[in-house]
Amino acid sequence: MHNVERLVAGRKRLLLLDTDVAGYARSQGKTPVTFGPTDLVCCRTLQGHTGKVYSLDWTPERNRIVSASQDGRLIVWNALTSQKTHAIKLPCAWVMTCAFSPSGQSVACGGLDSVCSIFNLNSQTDRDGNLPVTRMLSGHKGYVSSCQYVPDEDSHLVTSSGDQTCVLWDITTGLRTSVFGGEFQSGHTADVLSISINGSNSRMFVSGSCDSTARLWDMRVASRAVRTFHGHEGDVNSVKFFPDGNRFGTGSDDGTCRLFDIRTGHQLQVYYQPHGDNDVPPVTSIAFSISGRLLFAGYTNGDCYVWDTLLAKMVLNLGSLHNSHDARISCLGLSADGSALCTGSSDTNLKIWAFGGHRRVI
Amino acid sequence: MELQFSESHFLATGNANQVDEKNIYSISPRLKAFSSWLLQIMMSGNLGAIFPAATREYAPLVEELWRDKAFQATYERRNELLMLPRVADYFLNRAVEISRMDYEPCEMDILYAEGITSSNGVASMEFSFSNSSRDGYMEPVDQNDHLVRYQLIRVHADSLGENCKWLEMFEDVDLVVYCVSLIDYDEFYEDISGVCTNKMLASKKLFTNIVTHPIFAEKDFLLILSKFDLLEEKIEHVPLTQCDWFQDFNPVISFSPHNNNRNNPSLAQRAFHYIAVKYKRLFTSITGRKLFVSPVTGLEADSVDKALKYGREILRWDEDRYAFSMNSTESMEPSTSL
Repeated sequence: MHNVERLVAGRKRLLLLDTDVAGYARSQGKTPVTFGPTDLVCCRTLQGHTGKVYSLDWTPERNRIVSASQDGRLIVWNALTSQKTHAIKLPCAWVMTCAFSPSGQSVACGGLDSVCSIFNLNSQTDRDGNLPVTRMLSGHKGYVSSCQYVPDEDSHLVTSSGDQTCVLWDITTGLRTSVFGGEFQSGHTADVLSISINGSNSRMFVSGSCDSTARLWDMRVASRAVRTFHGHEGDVNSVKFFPDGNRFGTGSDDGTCRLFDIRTGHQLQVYYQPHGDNDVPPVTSIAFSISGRLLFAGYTNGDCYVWDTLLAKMVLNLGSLHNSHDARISCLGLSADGSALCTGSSDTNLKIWAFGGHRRVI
Repeated sequence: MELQFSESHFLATGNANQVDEKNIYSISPRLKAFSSWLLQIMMSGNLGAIFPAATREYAPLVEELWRDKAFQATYERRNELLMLPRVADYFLNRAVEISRMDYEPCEMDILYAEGITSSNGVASMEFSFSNSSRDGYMEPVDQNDHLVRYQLIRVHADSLGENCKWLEMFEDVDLVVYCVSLIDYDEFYEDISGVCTNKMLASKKLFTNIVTHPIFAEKDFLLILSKFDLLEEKIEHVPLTQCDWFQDFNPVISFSPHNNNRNNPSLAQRAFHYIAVKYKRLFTSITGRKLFVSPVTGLEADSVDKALKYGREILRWDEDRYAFSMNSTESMEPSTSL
């Protein structure tokens, strides 16, 4: 399982030109991860939303999930018991993203209202039983597509927007600390759809956009991206940093996922499987397993592929399993300890998938 | 805008109309100081800092500025000021009254304010058609229509990015209501880089983007051509051919001695018909289907009611076609009129 780390350490990285990780791995005699029928099963279905689920996020430590839905609500779930601890009615029903703060005390969400709203889960509900908004981060001139708190900092988060910019916010003051891209700086040339902050180096984050590129940013340098990554032939809907922080994955409307190296800028691998005569469905969201050996990708047709990242083989399709979603997978995420995957779907449900039915790290 | 205009006139030399140093567009130094200050606040983006708290204090000054002869002279030439809202006089005439702490906006105020305020981009409301609005041809089954809930979602296209990626959130709507202002054909909006775009052409572009989006491939569209009353005013002195898309508008106006309205549609009616056909042809060329069109005058509740009912009919035809009943339906209404 740690072969991936050894494989790309040091100078060996230079030998890995575009899309040859799999070839190299095969030449080293690596065999794909295999999944038997009971290795990854749906152990919980979280029901409660009355509209499509658009986004979900786990807490960094305890097993809670926040989900955002077209029904205009955020729900906070206890993933172990399926209990709903909060149901937050949103001022704007058109929500596209949600995130848990590092402490687990607050949740953030954003959408077509162009605002990122923060709710403190411990605050008192008002007369109608609604949780009040603690802070509204306004300034974007387009929809808020994605938001993520800076690791270990409840006071800062990053948003991506349809206005082609990403913004680092200071939540305490409600002001923008930095704007990445936009009118006066070089950045994305179309809507930004997704961001992922590097877990190993939280100064860096990567963004994916309708301009088919992903860009790497240093939070201290807002004027231009550190690097731009080309390769995709369609909107980049989802980006996620690889666990070691040296690579990141992307999922796109072109039906492929890709792995990029942030230091060389090289595209390391393409994850793509022809679907016969049908159009390749767009990838909506991705996540890596703790070791990075597995890449989970959700598709618009309800498939959820588990890719062996090393050998670029699809080793399991959650969409074909018993009890899977029967509509588009719009979001997915791995729990902090890596023992469970949560998927959210247009069928209004969330599902929790665990390895071997028991939750252990893979 | 007005201030800049009058400033440049003040400084212009060789103006044949100048009698002394000042001209008819010059305002007093006191008023100039006030408007300079106001402009500065606007440019700093801090208008929210003084309004609404200080409205009462400044209202008399605003009214004085508005009634000033120089201001009014400039306002006479408002057709040359591309960015000025058409409804400026509606509100400015009553500046003092509106600024009172206890002033309650009436329905007309709300209708007039639409489009010049910056809302958050998306608004929605649910409604049902009341039982009392009975149409003569209503069938017995229609009498339960007042139980059907409709949701109208208003989306301001300009605040939502160019790619229309957000359209995917509306994949479940049953009817797309696209609003175009009939008087946009000679109006422009200026983007951040100072590029001027013809509003009607911008409408056409957005319409095309939405219609060609795969999510809306099978959806019915209702085109609302609004502000017909203002078109009637404008078409008399501004030809439709001002807009590149309408170059071949060449109505044959017959000067019949009988001047019978029924046989002789007005220029505005011809223009309306022409624009409707332009959009219909565009829609059919993309989808192969029929575009529904309805005129509306926003300030007349009846015309809005009629358009909504037309929308309801379209939805009913869909229902009959698919032969299953729905409990609620949705509409989306992107508007490009500013």
